[in-house]
Amino acid sequence: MNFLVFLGGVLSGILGVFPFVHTNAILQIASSYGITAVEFAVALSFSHAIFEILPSVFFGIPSAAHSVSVLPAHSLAMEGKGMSAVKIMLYSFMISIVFSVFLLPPLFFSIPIWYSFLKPFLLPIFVTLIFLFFISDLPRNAALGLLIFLVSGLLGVLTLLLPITKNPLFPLLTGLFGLPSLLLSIKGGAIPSLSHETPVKIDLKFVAAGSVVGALSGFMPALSPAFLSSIAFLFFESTPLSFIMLSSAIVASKMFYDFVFAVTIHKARSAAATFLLSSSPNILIIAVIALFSSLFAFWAVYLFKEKIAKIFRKNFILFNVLLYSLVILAIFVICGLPALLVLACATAIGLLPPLFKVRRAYCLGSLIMPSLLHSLFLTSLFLSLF
Amino acid sequence: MKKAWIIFFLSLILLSVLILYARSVAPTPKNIAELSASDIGDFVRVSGRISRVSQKENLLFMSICKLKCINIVLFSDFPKLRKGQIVSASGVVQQYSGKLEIVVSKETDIEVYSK
Repeated sequence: MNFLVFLGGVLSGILGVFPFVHTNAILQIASSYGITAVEFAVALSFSHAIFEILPSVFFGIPSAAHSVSVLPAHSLAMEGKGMSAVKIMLYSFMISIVFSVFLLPPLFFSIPIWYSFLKPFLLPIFVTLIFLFFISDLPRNAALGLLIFLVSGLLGVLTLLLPITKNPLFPLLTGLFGLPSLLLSIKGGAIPSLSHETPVKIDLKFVAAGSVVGALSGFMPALSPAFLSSIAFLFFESTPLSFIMLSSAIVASKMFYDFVFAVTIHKARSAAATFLLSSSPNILIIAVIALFSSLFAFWAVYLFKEKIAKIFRKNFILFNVLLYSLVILAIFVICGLPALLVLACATAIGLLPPLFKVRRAYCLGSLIMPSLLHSLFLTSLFLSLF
Repeated sequence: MKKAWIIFFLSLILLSVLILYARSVAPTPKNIAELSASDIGDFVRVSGRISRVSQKENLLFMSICKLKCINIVLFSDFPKLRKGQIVSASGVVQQYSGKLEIVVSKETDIEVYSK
């Protein structure tokens, strides 16, 4: 293992405290400088996922990883319990990594067997999961949810499958999940002081369930932690705290098993996992890197969380306005002018769930619909309509 | 709720503009030999002679050559193609297992010039 490359990955993960500095962007920049080592990709992924907990909680900015735990976590922050939310996310993430490593010996050897057995059934399972996703919101808001799912799905198909912009995911995800939260958080005012903290108690049942769900998610593409959390809560009693625990555990376990699936069945479920396709890394080394990079990031965030939170809290509005401007500029520079049109459209759609008071996870139609069309071999037919 | 519906209709208008824009995007003509990693993500049109073609489970996979060869992938049926035909394909340049390939999104983006 190249220790310096590992360290570089862990330290690059610190960029996670700056919202919108996505792992994929860092990996792209690293690749352009010839850094394609597995150690870097794995260490960066885990470290970044932990550091980005802070802006997720205090700004309510959903990163790709923590897109669903953000809403209840940010609500806690707005009640002055931001530190409790950070601690719950940190503990759940770390415990889930440990669980995931323990699950590795039985799963590592059985994944290829299970995959070849399940392969003919993956499409019906995928469709059933989407059905369950809607069922989980019945009868409350399923109709409005379906509308948002379809509109965001159409946007996803247009953006991801037609040659509109070079980096379609950046404006798409920023618009759907990032900017609406920023706009609404500016409207909501500053974060209150961190004086209402309560003792944190982790319910291992949710963390263990999250670890198992995340571990199994690699059998299919486009299963995000948000989607999985929504379905998992069909079987659990959902409270804001249990939701944060379960979804943080899913994030950690899914991240780890994305790498395991890349090694075992050569299917990359994340951009970082593609780094493992061209080499044949030892899975034990991946596990050690995952554990140590998470531990380092956990320790750093735990140590400095109050200081960083104070900085965020004092300059909340200023930070929000700066971030907003920076994001638009970054999208224009990296992706070009048409990406701003994608951003505007995605932001309008991303504003719909909070305004209609439905789950933000419906916006995942943007990722699920292209996968579904692809699985049903309908992409070409659908695109010929435009 | 009224505000939500206004934003919903605004998003539909923006989607329509996006569709109109997508229809107007034309591929950049490129020689296969010119393609490099810097073209990844670009919408290009290449032409050449089919050196290999296979169709499996709604996946069309072919290799076309003109000085150099490149793989073309289309996730759909395209029964007319045969080895030796001259074709042009428009699609997005992507990298798969370290090799460049062009992913064509719809059948109409493949044109056959010779039988």
